[in-house]
Amino acid sequence: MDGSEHLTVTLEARQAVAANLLGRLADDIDITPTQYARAKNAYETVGEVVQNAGGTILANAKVFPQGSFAIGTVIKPVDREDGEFDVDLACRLDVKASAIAPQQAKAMLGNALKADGRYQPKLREKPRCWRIEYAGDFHLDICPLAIVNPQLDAIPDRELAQWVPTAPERYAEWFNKFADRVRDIRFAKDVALEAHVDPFPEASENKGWLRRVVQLLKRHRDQWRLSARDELKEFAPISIILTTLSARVVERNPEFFSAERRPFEVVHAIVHGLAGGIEVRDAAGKPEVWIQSPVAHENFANRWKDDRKWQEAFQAWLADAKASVAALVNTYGLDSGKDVLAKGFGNRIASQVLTEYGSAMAERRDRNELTYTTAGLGVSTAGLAVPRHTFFGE
Amino acid sequence: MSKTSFGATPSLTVAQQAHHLRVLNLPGAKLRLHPHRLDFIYQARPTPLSRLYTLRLTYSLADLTEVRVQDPNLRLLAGDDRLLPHVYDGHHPAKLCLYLPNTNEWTRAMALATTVVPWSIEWLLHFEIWLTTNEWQGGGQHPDAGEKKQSRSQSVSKPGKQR
Repeated sequence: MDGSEHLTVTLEARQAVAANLLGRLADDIDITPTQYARAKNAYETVGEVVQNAGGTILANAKVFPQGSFAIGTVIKPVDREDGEFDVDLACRLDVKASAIAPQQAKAMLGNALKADGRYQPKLREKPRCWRIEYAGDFHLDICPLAIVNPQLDAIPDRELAQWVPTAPERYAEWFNKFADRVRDIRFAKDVALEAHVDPFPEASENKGWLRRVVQLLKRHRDQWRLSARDELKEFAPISIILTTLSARVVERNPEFFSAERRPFEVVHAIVHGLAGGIEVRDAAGKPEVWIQSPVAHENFANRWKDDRKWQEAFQAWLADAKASVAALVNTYGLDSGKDVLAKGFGNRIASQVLTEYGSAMAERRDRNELTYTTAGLGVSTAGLAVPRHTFFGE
Repeated sequence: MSKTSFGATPSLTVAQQAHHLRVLNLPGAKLRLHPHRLDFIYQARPTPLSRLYTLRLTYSLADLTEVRVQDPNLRLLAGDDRLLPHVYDGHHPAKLCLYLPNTNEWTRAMALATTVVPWSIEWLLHFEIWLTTNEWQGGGQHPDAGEKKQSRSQSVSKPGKQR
């Protein structure tokens, strides 16, 4: 009866549950397979419409997903709970960048879309792309590309004034290689550890933890922006930077990411390694921050030299992201854990994750698979069985 | 109340129940065995990210089994404006509802150690989630649910009879 007795829990066990909750969260902000299929169907139709609009530049154009849709890191927007998400598409026109101006290319693409009656009511012009809105579901943002050489495309800059080099397909290939490597890590099958971790739903197993971490970081960035100091809000790190820096950690540490690992170790290594992909180069005697594109001579941080706040915002956000992960591991009470998730990723998604965790445990109990060890409830065969039963009462 | 109404399987004695509880070897557990009653105090953390709870199980052949959460004070955790879910008595120390009374879900032929004890720990998991979502994910039956009239009529659920 003396309250000094303490049930100690290993750090690994705490990390295992933290990773479980984070992984569930990443999967919950992802698009569903049905949404994915609908978006894919929609962009394939766009491709046909463009190709049939007339003229050889369009007839040989190719419409394909770029950005998060191409690498499996799409997330639902934080400020729109209706589930609408963005699908970034590229339309590579069959023309050299030197032979067409960005404005012309954009107009050509826009005219092809406008000519099809189906798109007219859904079409919206954006600074450098066309948006087709599928209300309540998703938008397709289609950006024109032109050819530089077989290895390299060009995309209009933000002002639509000039072409800048890009290689979306090779970027996706580059990222997916590391994401698949992380997916294929053998995750430590420590019985004591797995004892209290409810495995992920099978559908998400192909995704792997690099994609999950990128989704978590993007969502954390979105949430961070909501509460960031006003002067930093618009300088929140952009997705391509978070994505590239995450994959760079895997690229720099091939041994770490090929050995047997625990999911939490992967999360921690990436979050704490992010800043390692930022270089400072000498630009005519002045230091310049570079986040080098892996596939083109492009600095994803090219705007950082214009305003110190870019760097300041990145550092403030990163410190916050690290703190969120650490706080989750140090939580006492799943309710406090939910508060940590809510602060980092949004209240609604945090509640959803906890709800799912509870119902997954109840399902295991109903299948007579739930057991208890001193570390907690789980599925260890060495644990004390929790037989099926019915909670009674109000 | 000294035997079950479910035929063949005999009730376990208090000493037999005590034996099963001892072999659980729960850390921090204290067992007090009286001639016809036992008190079992144990600690549990339902998940590695959970609080450490101290519970007290009281069992006798003459009275109803009760499990109360002694520490922390669940009432304080829940706040004043909410009724605790699945309890017979929400005052501190809260008394948990862990099985359907007067069904075969729990009988005196069953060891507390492998039924009521793990159920109480599972209750704590769902309690922590309820604290923050206001929803109980553990399933169960409410005594006032229309189709569960039979449960409601069972006096075992009435707090008044528990003392």
